[in-house]
Amino acid sequence: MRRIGRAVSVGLRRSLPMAMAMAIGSLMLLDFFFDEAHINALGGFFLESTVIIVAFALLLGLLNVLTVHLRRIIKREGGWIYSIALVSIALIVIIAGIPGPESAGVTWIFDHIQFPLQAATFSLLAFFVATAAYRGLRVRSLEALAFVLTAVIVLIGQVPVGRYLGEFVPALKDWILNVPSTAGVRGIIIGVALGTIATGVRVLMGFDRPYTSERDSTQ
Amino acid sequence: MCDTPHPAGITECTQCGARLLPLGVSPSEVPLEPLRPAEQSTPSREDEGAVVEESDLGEGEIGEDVGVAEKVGDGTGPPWLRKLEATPVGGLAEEAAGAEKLERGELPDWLELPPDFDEMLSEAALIADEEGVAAAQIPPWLEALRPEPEEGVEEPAQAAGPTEAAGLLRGIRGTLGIEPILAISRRSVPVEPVAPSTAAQERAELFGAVVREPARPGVMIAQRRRVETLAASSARWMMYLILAAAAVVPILLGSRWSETNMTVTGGTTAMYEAIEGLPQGAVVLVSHDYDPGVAGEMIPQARVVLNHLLERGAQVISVSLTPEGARLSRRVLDEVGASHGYAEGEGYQTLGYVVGVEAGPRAVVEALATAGWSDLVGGAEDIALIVEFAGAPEYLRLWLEQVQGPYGIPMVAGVSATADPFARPYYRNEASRQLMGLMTGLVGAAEYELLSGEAGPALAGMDSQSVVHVAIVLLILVGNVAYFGGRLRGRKSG
Repeated sequence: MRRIGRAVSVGLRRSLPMAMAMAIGSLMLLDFFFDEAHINALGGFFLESTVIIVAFALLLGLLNVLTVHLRRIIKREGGWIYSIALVSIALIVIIAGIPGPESAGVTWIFDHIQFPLQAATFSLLAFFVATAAYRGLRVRSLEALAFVLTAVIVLIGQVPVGRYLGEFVPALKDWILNVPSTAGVRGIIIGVALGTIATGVRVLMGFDRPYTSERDSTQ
Repeated sequence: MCDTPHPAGITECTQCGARLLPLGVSPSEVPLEPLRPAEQSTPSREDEGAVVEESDLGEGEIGEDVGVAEKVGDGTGPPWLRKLEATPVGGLAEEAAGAEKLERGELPDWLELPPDFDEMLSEAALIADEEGVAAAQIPPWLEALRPEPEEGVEEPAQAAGPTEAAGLLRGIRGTLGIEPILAISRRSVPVEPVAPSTAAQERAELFGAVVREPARPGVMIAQRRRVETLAASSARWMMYLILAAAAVVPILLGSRWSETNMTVTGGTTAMYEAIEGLPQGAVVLVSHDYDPGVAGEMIPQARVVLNHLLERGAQVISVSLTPEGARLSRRVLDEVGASHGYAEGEGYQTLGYVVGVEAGPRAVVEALATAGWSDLVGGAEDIALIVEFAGAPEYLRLWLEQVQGPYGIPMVAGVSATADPFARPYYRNEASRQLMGLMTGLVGAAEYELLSGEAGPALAGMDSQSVVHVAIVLLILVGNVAYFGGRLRGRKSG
């Protein structure tokens, strides 16, 4: 009896998620291509459910982060001082956000702490790009020469200085961006789309089961 | 081998009894001589002479085989074995000694099969059949060959050959002799003294002085490394200062040179015309999908476009697929709305952050009517235009795939400079017109401000951006000059 129960449990653990994924995935695909009332209604329901589930997944992620760092603090593992900072700041922001996302506390924290810090960190990239350009953009070969010339033309053509030097500079920049650059990116986009389609078909047909645990997916 | 020198003509070593060959003669050219017979008493390892048994052919035999041979001599073996025993060992050795040298490919007589070999085989088979030997049963004649352990362990027979008298193998018999030419001791030839020249003597003395000098490389290397590090960090700091000056100085000077020298690209013009062509009261869905990292170029875009939309009297519904975008857009909306005398809900509506990645944009459009998120919209068909501000290309792709494609709603986009290459294929798609207009970075915002006729922070930052771009190009050129200069110097010195 126990063996039967275990077999049923294992079967459900493997088969039920796969069946649900295949059924709902197929339904959403049909909803995308067909305009039928019942299918649209079901599709809308699952769409809204997705939004709710993702929101709860964010909450779950937050709880996981807090748990991991609390454990690190309790066990005095490496970097536990930083874990104290993370946990305390997270709790402060959570408590400040209890009245709502537009509350004064959250707004102040965002405007005076998060926004300046994030903007300043990203602004450092400009200096790193400049030093990388100084060191990396060396004409060691013909390909490097083409690369450097392209970079110089686009950098100059992008700003009003390029037009000041001559009308051909912004025209050349536009040609570089509209023709070879667009052609290359189009190929990448098509490749990514084909890969996405293949992955979706594999998930719909049950060959890939990203929603199961490692133990179930290998059995 | 005892390495004892002998005069010419001696064929056997007087010390160890090894066979001596003349120089230049290979042992294979000289036939083996029969070894001297062993003494009657049990030979010991201390014997220097070669002790050979009558049945010994120069190969080491174990005592069991000797016992077996003795037993076989009793006449209990099969006939074919008795025939082999009849052949004396000494006779075989004499035959070998007197054998003629073989031609190439010719086999010696003893290796050839005897003429009555088949007869011997058949006799053996007959005997096996007569005795009725079953499979895996040992025939009696073979059993007779089994040694009898109850008679006590017999001493193994002495191995043939001389006993080694020296070296690691001292006292062991039956070792293979080495080539005599290898055993010849060589005397060292004294080297003639060389008188070094004066220059060589001086160099040798200098070398000796340098070697004797106590080595102190650590200090010198550390000093050299400090200089190199200082030079590298100085160059790096110079570049940082140049860039900072290029960014800050035009702003401090309040330069407006770009306003008079700026051109407007086709993408920005198309976006302006798309918004300019909206009817009064049109519902426009605006999505702010950027974070503070790219806010420097996205907020000017959002500000100028929202200003244009509210000027056209459009009803703006603002959402965001990023939590930071929701807060940043709120600031811009409040600021622009206040400048037009609108409060929230009057000219614009903020729905905030929408989760769900791919499901988010679709859920927004479908739920606008069904969930009653907005009184302005009865369905997707009521949305006149979608304006997407994408800090990263994936947000633009989400809106294109989930909303623009299925519902066919016209869409324009303002993207960051890094997202422009990924957005351009959608704008250049003239067949399906996925994007009707495309604005890129701070330059796009400045162009839009130029088209709107209202100079703002984007145009003010154009001079600074121009100088920074020129500075980066100059750094690239200086880097290449330094690189080629270094290569030329290397070639000249090499």
